[in-house]
Amino acid sequence: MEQEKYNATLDNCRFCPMCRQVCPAVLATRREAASPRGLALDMFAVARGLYPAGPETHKHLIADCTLCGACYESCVTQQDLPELVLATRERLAAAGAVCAEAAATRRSVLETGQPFGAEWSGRRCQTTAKGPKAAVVFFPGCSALYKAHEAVTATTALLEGAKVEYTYVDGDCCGAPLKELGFAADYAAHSRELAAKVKAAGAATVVTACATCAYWLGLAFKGQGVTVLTVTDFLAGLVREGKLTLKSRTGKSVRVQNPCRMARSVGRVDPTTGLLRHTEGLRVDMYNAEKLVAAGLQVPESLCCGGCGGTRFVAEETADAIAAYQLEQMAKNTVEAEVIVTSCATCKEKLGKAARDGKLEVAFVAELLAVKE
Amino acid sequence: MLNSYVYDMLYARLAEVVGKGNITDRLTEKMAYATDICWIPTAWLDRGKQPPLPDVIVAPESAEQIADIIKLAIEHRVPVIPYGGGSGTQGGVLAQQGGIIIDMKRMNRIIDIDEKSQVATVQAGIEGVNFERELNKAGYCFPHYPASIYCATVGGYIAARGSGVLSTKYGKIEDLVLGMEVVLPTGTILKSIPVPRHATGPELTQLFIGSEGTLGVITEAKLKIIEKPTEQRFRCLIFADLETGMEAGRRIMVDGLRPAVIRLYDGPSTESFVNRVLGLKLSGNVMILMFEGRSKALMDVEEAEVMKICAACGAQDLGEEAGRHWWDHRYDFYYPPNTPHLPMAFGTMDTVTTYDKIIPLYHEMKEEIEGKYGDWKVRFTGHFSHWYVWGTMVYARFFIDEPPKDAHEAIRLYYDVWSTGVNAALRHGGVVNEHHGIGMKLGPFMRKQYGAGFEMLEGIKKQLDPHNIMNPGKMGFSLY
Repeated sequence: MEQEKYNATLDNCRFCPMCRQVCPAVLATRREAASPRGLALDMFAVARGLYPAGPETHKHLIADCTLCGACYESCVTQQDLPELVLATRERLAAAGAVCAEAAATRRSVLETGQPFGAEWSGRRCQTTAKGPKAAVVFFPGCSALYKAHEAVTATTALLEGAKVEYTYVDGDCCGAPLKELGFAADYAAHSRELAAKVKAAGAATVVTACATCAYWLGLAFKGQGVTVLTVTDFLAGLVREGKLTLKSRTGKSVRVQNPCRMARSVGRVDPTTGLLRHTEGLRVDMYNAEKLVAAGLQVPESLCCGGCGGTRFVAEETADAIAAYQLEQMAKNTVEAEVIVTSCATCKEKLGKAARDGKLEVAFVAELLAVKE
Repeated sequence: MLNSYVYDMLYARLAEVVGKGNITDRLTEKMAYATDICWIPTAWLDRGKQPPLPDVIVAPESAEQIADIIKLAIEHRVPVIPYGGGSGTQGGVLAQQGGIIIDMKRMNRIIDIDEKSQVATVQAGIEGVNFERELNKAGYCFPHYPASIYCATVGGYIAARGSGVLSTKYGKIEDLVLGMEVVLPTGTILKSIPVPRHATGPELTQLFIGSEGTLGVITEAKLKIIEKPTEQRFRCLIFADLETGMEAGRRIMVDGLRPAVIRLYDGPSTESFVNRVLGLKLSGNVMILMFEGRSKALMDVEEAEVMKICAACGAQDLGEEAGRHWWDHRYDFYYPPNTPHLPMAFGTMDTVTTYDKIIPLYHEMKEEIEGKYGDWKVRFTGHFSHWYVWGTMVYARFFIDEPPKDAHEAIRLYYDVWSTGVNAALRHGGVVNEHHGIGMKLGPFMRKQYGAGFEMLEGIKKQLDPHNIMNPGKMGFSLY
């Protein structure tokens, strides 16, 4: 974020509470400090020298903001608070004002290649490729590889069924944890290394199971002749081109969840419904959303699952509370759906954890689909 | 507030009450309570000054927990400040002397919707917008629509004695509350009588409406809901002058007609805000009308009768579209570029009086402020938007584009402008405030407003809150 925009955003957000009602951290925790205005006041106080920049502010800006973008979307003056928050995290990290949890996550990525800590190193989903080179690289992302193996298994089954030639690159993390926790230089180096590996594989397309990976990899490969797609968008492309026909693997009625990162950062508001509507035998419950829109009510279309923005690495309890809140809202607004379907493996992981004792199941999109021969 | 080990013991005891996850005294958390929407703390902060902060924040989930918090506060003689949505404009939730903030937002349940009686019982920490969404799903609404609906809580609505954009038809918040639960400053939990009307002595519910946290903590309310209107109609008219527009509005009310909105803009407002938002080039005084209801026949009659009155007062009917456009953009008036922002100095001096005094009051406020602060290039605008059978409210606003950069000078000038405006209103039979409340900002004018009556208010405060722990320094009550 350029200095001029940084200063303007800091000066133009005047701590009004109008965006609080869309902020997932507030909706889940009901804490004023978790609100966008709470973050803005902390950043402003530091910038004006009311108290020194320290690890406490770094932690606050990560623990209470998933960078989902809902506040920016609802702000009538269009202040880009998520970008300001990210830029401030970077400034704090550059000044050494880093919270212990973020520092531990950084160490994990740099030393083990994944952000969940050394104890997770042996719990990776096993993957095999036919060769080191292919036109398509499947990059599952760390959530899928470590915590939602089913997203990897189901996606590879579809890729195999569709006879897609694909390979993997050596590397589990897209670098988002480094970037989102404020370690800009580490992220730049990580990103360069990953881009070189994709190029070495000869790939023109990277397919990822995670919306956060899709966003950051998309930025990393911008202008380099490599297209980054989510699994959903990649499959939808094959269906459009007549190379793939999909059928349902479930008789249950499903409701679509729109990952916030996909909607706001990747610019794909609801690709999942489009794909599912081209899937034979799948019942998509749109009833309640349409009814609420017709009644003139806002529908939280793209509420955050809690898994993004680095929050999970610093305040997992907040991330889990956000996931639980979103699931509760979806359950409340769902008439007949039995399965919540998501196009993001991080959402699958977080919402799936929240759904353990509930009535709703949560599935990654590929889990519901099979190739129709 | 307290010496360190006593404070830490109090903190531990508060944590026992609300749970360790619902208490904090971290600096980054306390900073979130440094300001509400009041210009004074925000401008203070904008100029690099540290506003006062609370010592500790607790987020209870029940009236019983609040009672226990208050008992601890009494024991330690520590201020207690209830905090809802933080959308107040008068500094009503500022912790001027530190103390305990009770953040009400965890108490956000809808307890019951009694469809037969049209009464909803809610916890005070629910945001207006969330309450409304749930009611709408059941076919009902709560016809109180302040511009702060997206952030204010129901408790805040009541504590500030607020008003909504449809108040002309449905009344202010004091007309929409059937009963309340309040935790008194002694820790006693009081439930007022929740019936439509009674002759069982004075009405205690009304004592706490507008008490701004100085007489207790509102924890629950029984609210009068209605079936959602099925039809809305709009009209935009223009009057040659303020007086004829005012007479039309008065006649509408006196004749028993009840448009949900009657909004009459003065010349400067018409030429600046209204023209900009509606994309018009009008001069004179625009009036916006909105009708709503569930009976087409009744609305036909009401609309026809209102239009007859307006025509008789010389109004030009600009049709439905401009009125509808106003409705669709009604909140735009409160956001940039139509609303002021720092470093500007600005304020809304809403006041109300009877019809015989309202026009002279408006002119007097305008002349005094424009005359006295001409060197600061002050601008003054107004509209009339909450109408009653006996009088109406003027929403008077002032703007100074370039106030002093020095924080101290800015605050002193700001108070001076307010003093000029409020005193002009009081001289002409107006009140200190109509629907934003008093808070910290307008407290100094309460004694003048009430005269001997203020001693009575102080007596009530002292009786209910003998240790002066509930939101001290607000509403003109003592800070210490």
